[in-house]
Amino acid sequence: MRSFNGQQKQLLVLLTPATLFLSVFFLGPLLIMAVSSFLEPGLYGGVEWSFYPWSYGRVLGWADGFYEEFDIVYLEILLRSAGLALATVAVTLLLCYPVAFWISRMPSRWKSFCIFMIALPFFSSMIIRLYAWILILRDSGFANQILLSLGIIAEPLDLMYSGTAVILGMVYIFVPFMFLPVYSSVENLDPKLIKASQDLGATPFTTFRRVIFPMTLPGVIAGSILVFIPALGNFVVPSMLGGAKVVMIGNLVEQQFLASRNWPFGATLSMIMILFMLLVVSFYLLKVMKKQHAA
Amino acid sequence: MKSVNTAAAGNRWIKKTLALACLGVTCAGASVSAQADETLNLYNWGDYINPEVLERFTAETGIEVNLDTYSSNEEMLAKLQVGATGYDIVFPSVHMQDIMAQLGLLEKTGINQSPGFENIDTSHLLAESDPEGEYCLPYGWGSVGIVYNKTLVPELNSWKEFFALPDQGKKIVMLDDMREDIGLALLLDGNSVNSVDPDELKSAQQFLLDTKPKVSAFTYDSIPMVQSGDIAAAQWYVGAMIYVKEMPDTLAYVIPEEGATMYQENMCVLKTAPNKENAKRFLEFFLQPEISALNTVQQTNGSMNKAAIELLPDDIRNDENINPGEETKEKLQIFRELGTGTRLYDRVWTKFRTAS
Amino acid sequence: MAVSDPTPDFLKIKNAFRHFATPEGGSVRALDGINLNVASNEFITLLGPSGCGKTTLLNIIAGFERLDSGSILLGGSSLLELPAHQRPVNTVFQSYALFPHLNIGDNVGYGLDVAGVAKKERNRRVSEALEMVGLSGVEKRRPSQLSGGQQQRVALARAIINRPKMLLLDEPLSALDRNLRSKMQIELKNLQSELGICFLFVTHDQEEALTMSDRIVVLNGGKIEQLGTPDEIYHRPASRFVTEFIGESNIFSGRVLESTPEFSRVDLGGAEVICNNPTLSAGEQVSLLIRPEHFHLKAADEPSSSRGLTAVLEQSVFIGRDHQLHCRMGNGQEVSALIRSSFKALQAGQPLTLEYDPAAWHVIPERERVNEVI
Ligand SMILES: Nc1ncnc2c1ncn2[C@@H]1O[C@H](COP(=O)(O)OP(=O)(O)OP(=O)(O)O)[C@@H](O)[C@H]1O
Ligand SMILES: [Mg+2]
Repeated sequence: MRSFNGQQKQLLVLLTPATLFLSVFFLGPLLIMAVSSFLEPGLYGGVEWSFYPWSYGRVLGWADGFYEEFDIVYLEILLRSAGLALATVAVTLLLCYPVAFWISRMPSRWKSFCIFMIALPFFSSMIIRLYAWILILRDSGFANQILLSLGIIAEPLDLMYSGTAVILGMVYIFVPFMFLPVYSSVENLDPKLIKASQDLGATPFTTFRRVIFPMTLPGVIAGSILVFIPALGNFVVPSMLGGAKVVMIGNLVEQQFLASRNWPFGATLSMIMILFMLLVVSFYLLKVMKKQHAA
Repeated sequence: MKSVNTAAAGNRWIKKTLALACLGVTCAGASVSAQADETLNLYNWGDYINPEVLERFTAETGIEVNLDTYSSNEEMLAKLQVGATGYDIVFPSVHMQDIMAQLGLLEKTGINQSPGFENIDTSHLLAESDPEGEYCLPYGWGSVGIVYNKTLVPELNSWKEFFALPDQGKKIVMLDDMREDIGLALLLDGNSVNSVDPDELKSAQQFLLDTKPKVSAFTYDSIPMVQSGDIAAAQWYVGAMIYVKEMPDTLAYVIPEEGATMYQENMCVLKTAPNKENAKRFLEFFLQPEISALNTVQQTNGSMNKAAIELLPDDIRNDENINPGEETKEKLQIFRELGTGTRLYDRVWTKFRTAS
Repeated sequence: MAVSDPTPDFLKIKNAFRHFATPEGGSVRALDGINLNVASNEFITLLGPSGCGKTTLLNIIAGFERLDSGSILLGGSSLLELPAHQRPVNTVFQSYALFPHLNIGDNVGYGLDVAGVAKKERNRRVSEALEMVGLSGVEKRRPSQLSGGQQQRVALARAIINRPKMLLLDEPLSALDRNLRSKMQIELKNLQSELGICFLFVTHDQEEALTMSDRIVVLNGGKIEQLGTPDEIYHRPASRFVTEFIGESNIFSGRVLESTPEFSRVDLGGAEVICNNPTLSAGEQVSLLIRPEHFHLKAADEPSSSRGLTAVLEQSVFIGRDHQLHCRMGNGQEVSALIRSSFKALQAGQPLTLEYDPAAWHVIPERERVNEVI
């Protein structure tokens, strides 16, 4: 009992700064945003201090057209952004999973080198890295020049300002978020367990399904969440590489805060996006946990 | 604005993102500190003033100048609204000056009484809230026309030709800007770029929706793409003239014959300015023709100081795009504050952006 | 489970070689020409110091490692072509390797699940296997909720559930405490005779090997030093290495003075011993060894004989039933003896005569000491 108290005290000391930090820098802004989303928009930006539920009605359906009008387009944009975020999760996962195994089997100095290389892009600004992609993807860019000079294509491909470019850019930006957790779970996987499974008669595929995948699932979940959340709000990549032809929920929020000067509506969209994220993530976690229990 | 530097164009995203982040946290900070003996704090668009002007001012007066930048009118206003203090002079576009006047953010300077003000072209006293120039000093102006690659498009004179390029397999891009794009659509219909008439806006929306499939992208980062020939022509600011002068064989800029939107920024002193005297001194300093000219040469934009225009080198003074004649000037329309009309624009813009 | 008649050469390993490249650029011979035949119901132990190739041999039989050259037959057909999951052998791993994400029932039933055995049959066999290892009713627990010994039993149950023809056990008891270990040794031995299958057991603990095995393979540096029953290994070690590795011994170097068909006289440098070893020739260099328990102390009233070594007692340590005596001979060599504690009290510094039976000496001619480690 005495040691438990000691531990509690220690825990308290350890957790207090983090809790304070989170409440000031995370919950504080969230609260401000939640409150603003229920206020009336000011004519020149800012908010008027009166209750105004119509911003939500505009998205969710109860705006009757007097103050605001319901438009399904906002939900469509949210779903489309979710689709793009999911696609990003899927592609980064497919990419990172095998690579993580490959790297985990390397001698340790190569390992550190590869991990460093994958984390390297973190050290420079996202904007600059996306500009580099423009140089690669545009009609006269490196990709087309190489393909042309190899004689693979006769005409430059329309790579830039396309859906492909957007997925490519998103994957590029978010790969480290997926790789690091997946890698750490792969690295922690005991090779003896794989041997044990084979020894008991499991084919390589069965071993993957019954041992390797379930054992690395925590890393996959962490990676998916870490990619999904920022990917959902990302609007820089669709703007820069997609030519802003497809609007994402992030673009919409930006538009509300700047050009349209409707802060409460911007806050509303952000709140709905956050709730949606929480919903998706908790649904995902619940499902995965159930599956793990069943197995 | 209309910063032209590509690095600055890159900055724009960062700044927009930061602006959003700031709005989220209501960062009241951003106040310029450093109260040396004599200071002056400018809050300006990125790359929108010749640094030499500031150096000359400091050399002449001993007043130290701090410069902070923004990338859109809305960003600047939002920051002031959430309580940023410490700035002395801001550079709003004309319609933003009107909003700021409404909100009581601007200080009356009486700059129109200062020596040298007689050189200012009174047709550029465009703010409805300040028809005499008692508050702000006209700073710079320009048009939003077309920059194109001459090797791909030998000659281009109109928006009609511009929008016909995709049919010939040539790529065009437009600005990713609500007012510019809707404004252009209205202008091509023969309407005011500030129309809030629902029918006129509906027609503008239709034009934009019809045009969208033909436009390769909506972006600010057009110049490098036009330069490399990946894009044949782009809706862009007159600031493109810097590049046109560097590469006259490749690039060209034109104010199309249907007309164009125009922008103008004025130099205004804030009510909350901590150094009002110094601010006024800076405005008066800028009234000097050679200082104004020094700035225009570097910015290659329009000047409204008639004496300064006289001092400009020929290639700038006589450039029909930078300092257009009266006939062309008449075809240019400036943006006005829309008030509640902004809501209509927001709807048109959202519809247009989500269309595929 | 029915116990079938034993097949003598069930597992046949012929000329097995395997080397590994070291990071320093050299190469290690993990298996250096192994030849071994094992019967189908035998408990055979691989015994040897760390790094001698025990795990490598097991891995090769299980299919986790390949052979450079050589062949391995199991029940008359070659094993080497089969991938690990198709080999009719199962392994109990050194650190158990239980699946942490599965409960005990699913761990034990894993082999049946991947084979697609029907649920009812599977559950029956899982509880049967758990019962065999004395762990009924823990199906729903997680591996982390069991003690080391219990985890060990689960690993065992998991490995036997597929009814393998042979069980490979890689130091399965090394992580257990002494008491549990002796208990498990007996249980393992019982399990083996109950199942009637061949156990290939790895250990570096000689006592464990001597207790459990039908035969022991002493490995050193990838080679077989000696293959024999525990009795042969203990009493007639084939080399000085085996001698030193198995049990405690007094080892002397000496020169043969005289050799007759009945006995030999060997000079240890100042002392002389008589031993029964007919095949020596005079002047030959030999290693002589005798186990401490083969010395006796003469009671004062017994007649002394010439078959004794004289030494001075330096220290006497009580170790339960026996006393361990540390003595020094006149020529300075140390010698240790194990005698019954009931003997009268002894004092340090006291001269003693350590008597022996000439048959207790084991003589290894120097010419045969090929495999000795330097
Ligand atoms: N994968 C490998 N790569 C390189 N060398 C190896 C490899 N596996 C084993 N070795 C080397 O082969 C030799 C035999 O190793 P092995 O694991 O069979 O020893 P062991 O007898 O099981 O030892 P221990 O009692 O310590 O488990 C050792 O020298 C070891 O360093
Ligand atoms: Mg081993």
